[in-house]
Amino acid sequence: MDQDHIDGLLERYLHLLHDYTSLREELAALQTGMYQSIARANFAAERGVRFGQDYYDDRMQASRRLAISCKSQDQDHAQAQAQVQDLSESQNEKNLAVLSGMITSFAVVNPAAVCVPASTVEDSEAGVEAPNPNPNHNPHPRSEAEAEDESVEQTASKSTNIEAPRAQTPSPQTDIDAQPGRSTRATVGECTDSSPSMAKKGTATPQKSNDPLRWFGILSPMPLREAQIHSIRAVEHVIPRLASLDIEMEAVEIEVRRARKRLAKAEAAASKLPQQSG
Amino acid sequence: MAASQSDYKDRQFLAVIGDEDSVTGLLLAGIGHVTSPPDSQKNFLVVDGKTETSAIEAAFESFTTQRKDIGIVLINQHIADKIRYRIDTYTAAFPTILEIPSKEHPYDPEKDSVLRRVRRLFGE
Repeated sequence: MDQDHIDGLLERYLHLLHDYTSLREELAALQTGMYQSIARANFAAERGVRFGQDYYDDRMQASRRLAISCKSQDQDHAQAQAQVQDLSESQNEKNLAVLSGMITSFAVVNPAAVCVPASTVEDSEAGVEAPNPNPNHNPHPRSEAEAEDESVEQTASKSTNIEAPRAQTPSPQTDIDAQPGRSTRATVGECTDSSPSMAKKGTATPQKSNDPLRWFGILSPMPLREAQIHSIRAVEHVIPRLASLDIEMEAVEIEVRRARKRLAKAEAAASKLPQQSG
Repeated sequence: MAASQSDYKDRQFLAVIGDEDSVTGLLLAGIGHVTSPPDSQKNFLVVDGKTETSAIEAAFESFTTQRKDIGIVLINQHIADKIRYRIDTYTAAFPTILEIPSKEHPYDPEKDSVLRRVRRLFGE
């Protein structure tokens, strides 16, 4: 029984390790693309211009932020075991459950994405029945917006729980954000699509100038935009998952060591028993 | 793993310690943040040939210990090598340290903290 438990844990651990190494490869590939793009931008730039720290905005504000969710889990042994099998069968890394203690998962969210549900709430309250112009648009904006509104008042863990699955299962919205030329400003544009009355509000938000590409001038070179695509993909999809896997693997390691210790104790006790009786 | 809620709920930034291209690339994704004027603390450090190891160490100390708003610290692996003793002895749950490759230094799995833990678990 105990040996089976350890084997189950190790199997799960190897799945996690596989995810980790493939994510590492993905990160390396994205970063290589990013470095090449930056090098191309520097090569094509005017003499003496280098896209680097000289251009950073000293008042920059992060447009992509972390949402860490961490909740305790009360599960009995049998349920935990079932979950291990589920995970190993479906290889579902979305469920970052840790067998004992805490579930920790990282997600990077773009606060600008909040713009879309917020505007649709106002739409529906004002009774504007705008047909959805974009088939890729979030199919449940109302419920999500409500959830976000509620979560403002509630605990951080609640709100991060809402955000975490969204970042890990890339919703249509995050896909839109991941596209380069349509980052923050594109999202504002989506708001204005669904409601003309929002157009003024959308352009009035300071988010417009939040795109780091603007530090390097109004007409930023194409390679720099490509570097941004790679970088956004790494930051939104790879880095948070690597960080989550790191913590999850650590938790499984602890669990394996505990189980091994228990097994060693049980074996020692079992070997003592016949000696005493004999 | 016993992290209380206050440990992580305010940790909303990623920090970077890296060479200029690494930092520029990551800042392009919009993770750069400078706090309001009296402090004006940056969440990144550009390291070049002239940067002292003590400055790297100070930034690492600031991101991991002093600041409570950072959830992940990204550091180029070749820079992490300079303060390896600090990184190996770092055990806190938050922020998580993630070593990343740089332009001139491809990722070396031998130094990867997770893969080293894997080897330990399987008794090598």
